[in-house]
Amino acid sequence: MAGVRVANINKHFGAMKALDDVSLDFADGEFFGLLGPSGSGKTTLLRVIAGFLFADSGSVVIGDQPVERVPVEKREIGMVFQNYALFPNMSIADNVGFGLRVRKQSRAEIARNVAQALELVQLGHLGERRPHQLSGGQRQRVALARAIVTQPRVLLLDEPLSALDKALRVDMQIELKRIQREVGITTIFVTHDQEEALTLSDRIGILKDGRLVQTGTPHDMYHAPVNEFAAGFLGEANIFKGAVGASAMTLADGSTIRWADHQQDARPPGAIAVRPESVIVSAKRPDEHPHMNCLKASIRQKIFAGPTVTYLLEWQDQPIKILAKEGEMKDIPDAGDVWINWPAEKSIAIPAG
Amino acid sequence: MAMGRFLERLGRVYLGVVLAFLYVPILVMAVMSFNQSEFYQLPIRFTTGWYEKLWNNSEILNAAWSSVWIACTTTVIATTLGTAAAIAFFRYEFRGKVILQALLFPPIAIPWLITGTAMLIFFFSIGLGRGAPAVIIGHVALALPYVIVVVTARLRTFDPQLEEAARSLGASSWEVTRSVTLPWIASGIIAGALFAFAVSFDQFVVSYFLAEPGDSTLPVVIYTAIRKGFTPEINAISTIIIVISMSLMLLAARYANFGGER
Repeated sequence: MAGVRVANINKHFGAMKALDDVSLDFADGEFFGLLGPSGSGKTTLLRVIAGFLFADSGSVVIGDQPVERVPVEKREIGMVFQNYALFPNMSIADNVGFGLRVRKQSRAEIARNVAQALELVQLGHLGERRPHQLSGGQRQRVALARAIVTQPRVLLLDEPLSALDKALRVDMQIELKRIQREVGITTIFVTHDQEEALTLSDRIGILKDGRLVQTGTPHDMYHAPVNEFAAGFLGEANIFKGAVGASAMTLADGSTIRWADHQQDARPPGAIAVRPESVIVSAKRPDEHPHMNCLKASIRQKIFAGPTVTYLLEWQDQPIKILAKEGEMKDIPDAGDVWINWPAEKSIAIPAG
Repeated sequence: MAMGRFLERLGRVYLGVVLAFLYVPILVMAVMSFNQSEFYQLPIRFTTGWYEKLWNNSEILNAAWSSVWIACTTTVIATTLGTAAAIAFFRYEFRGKVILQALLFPPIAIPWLITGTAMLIFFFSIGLGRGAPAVIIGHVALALPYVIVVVTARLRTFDPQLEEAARSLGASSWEVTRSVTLPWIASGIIAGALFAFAVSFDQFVVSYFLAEPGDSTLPVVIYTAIRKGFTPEINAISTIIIVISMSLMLLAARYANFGGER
């Protein structure tokens, strides 16, 4: 097992710049999520690491071996594809054993390793079946077993769970995390699902238009996004902009909002982001308080979803989204003007520019 | 309702007419090969005499043998080259790919008479002349496009990620081809091989031009024999060929499902 380091990767497809000077370190044993909208370059980066694509410039190092000129089959990687890519002409056991046969292991060794790998993904009893006889979740596990049985240096997952339905996806997230912990393998996975990235990753990297926007732990990324895109892509955010003073921002309607001092960068923030779950709605104007921000908005819609309730409001023609626990906010009208407020420390100061 | 039933009946009649059109002449020929009369006189008096005569006709037997081994050689060469070409077209992007692919179709469309003439002139100008090597080269050139088209059609259903998965597991290019790609397209290769065999075995024009006189393939010899005067021996050899090729077709249809999903 090994860490992976990519440095100054550039990749063009014709005139389109798919990767723009991307540098990233993946630590040994880390579960790293590459997150971004489609066309952001995340899959391109994964395929450059795998060796299916060669970068125009920049370096890829697995462990301490530079691999820019090493073909896929010699990179000692494991990969799980979006559609699993199980070999239809082979049994499950033969699928899992494929990489071991290529490595000329003995029959006995192959049988033992395959059994162990299938046991790890809890499919020990299905070795004789064919891929088309398995459910989506089972195929997913087989693909995973096949990718790790060769003890690769790094495991690459390309949107591994996107073909599963939602309930199964949550189960598989837990399962994937367990297996990754048990094997301890450096894992890089690509997803466009921010919740999946938050759940699985030790660290996340957000890509946009081929550029790396931000990397960090899920917690840091959620609470301290570096720009509006990061704030809106990882979780939801209400963004406020206005004239920035020393410790408060004056909005278009004349009201001011504050942020906690400890968040303040050397430079004043360019915008304030507030997470939907940080805001409280009240029917009456709350008492002035220096550490509370308060705006007058009007309710447009209330969406009941069992444990949570979403309020869609409008403030100065700007949509505002608020998420509350069911039963938490009482006496809120279904329509009309209300007050929205949140404590200053829940304001996320987004760096300017 | 009544209209629908009428159309259905019409369809059945049409199918019957087509089948009769295709098979009655063959059936007549097969029956006549067992008739004693050389002049197709009825009623039929059963004999296997024509088959015995055929067995002693060295010219026809030699020609049949030539046809079989030339067709087999053509099949092996055309299927191997054609499959390799189809995989290359599928797997790689390279300069001139589209032009190469487009150039594959004219040989199917150009009349064989013209192809045959062109080949004869060409083979004489390079000093190869007539003979079995010229015939085989000619047949391979004619059969190759069929193999490529059939195998390519099968490859369209192949998921290229399977090759990527095999490579990520450490398989070399040859191992990927052998254990992942070829098993998937096997039915297409068999269908392509059948086409190649049929193109070669049926080939009259190109063989007529390129074979050495006196040492030719079956279609040429049959044609020459008919010109000299028709004998039921021709019926006999034709019947044998039809039985063999129909059995091959049935076997292939059962095994390969004509390139469709199994």
